[in-house]
Amino acid sequence: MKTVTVTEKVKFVLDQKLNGLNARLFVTREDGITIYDSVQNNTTTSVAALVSGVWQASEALMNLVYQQNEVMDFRLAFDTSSQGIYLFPFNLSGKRYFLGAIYNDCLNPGLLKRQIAMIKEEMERLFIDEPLPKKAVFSARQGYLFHDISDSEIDRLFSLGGI
Amino acid sequence: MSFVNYHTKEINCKIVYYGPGLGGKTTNIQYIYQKTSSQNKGQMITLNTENERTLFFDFLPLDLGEIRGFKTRFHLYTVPGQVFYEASRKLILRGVDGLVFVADSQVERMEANLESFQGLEKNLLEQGYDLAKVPLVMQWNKRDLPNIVSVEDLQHQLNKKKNPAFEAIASQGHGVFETLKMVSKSVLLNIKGGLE
Repeated sequence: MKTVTVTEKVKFVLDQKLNGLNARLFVTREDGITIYDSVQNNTTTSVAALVSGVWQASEALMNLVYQQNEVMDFRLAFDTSSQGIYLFPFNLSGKRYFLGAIYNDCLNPGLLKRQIAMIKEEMERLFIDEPLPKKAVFSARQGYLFHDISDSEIDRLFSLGGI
Repeated sequence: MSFVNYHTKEINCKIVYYGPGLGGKTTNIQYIYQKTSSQNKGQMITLNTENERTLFFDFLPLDLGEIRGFKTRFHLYTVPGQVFYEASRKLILRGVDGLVFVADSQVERMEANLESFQGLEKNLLEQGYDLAKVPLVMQWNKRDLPNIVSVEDLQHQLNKKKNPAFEAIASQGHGVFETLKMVSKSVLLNIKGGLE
């Protein structure tokens, strides 16, 4: 039986939600790596890095002023009455991710935010119902991914980037 | 923490350029950005102050080719070097896979180099990392300037663990890719075989 990864599962859920949303929808890991982005272009990776940075800075600010350690109920908004960014932290299979939307020219941002919150809740439910068989897969992949890499392999890798 | 997706055969790694203010961290990243072909790089992000000093971080995603069937993506970050941005530096170290310490070779910057290196050790510890276990490459930058410390002195004062080290003139590109290739190799060799 094929194992379904977090990435595949998130994509399956979010692809179905896009039609009803007038927003760019994305999920990132807390270290700034893209799990899902409804827009795939040269900004995709940077969006995830900035989302992670914004969240971590906000979290550090709360900790600094109020010693607030529990932030899973928080959300982050940077918005006007028609455009903005909205972020939610959430847990999938024991790891923290951010679900976010960037929107512009939106008539009802309140409704959009509610829709994002509902998507988050739906995803959390889905992952609770069907936890990934992480331990079994992980145990087969102990040790290092590469035992040796030659300088010429690294040169070849970089030469592909025109370097 | 590197991210290996076995299903899509992708590797994502985070490399942080660390060092004292005005040492050349951003210059390294800018040179890499300029010299990388457009289809292999994402948008470079710089969060600067008005006078172009790094405020939070610079970020450059590099989408290189495949190594042994794995598509490889490096996320390059710089930290702000100025002393009072300590809180930002700590945040950027989270999830780090490899480090480049960019030291300023000028005699008058040795104290700043030492202070920054001690800060790196301390900040890593606070994030739960042991510097001895994180791939680290040293870069002795600004070798073209007068009044520079000898490489032997830099090694003695900043590189007691004998990590790989390169002389550099980042503004001209000398040593920039040698440093990046070395840290990339060290990071790839250090990836544990876990699942996303």
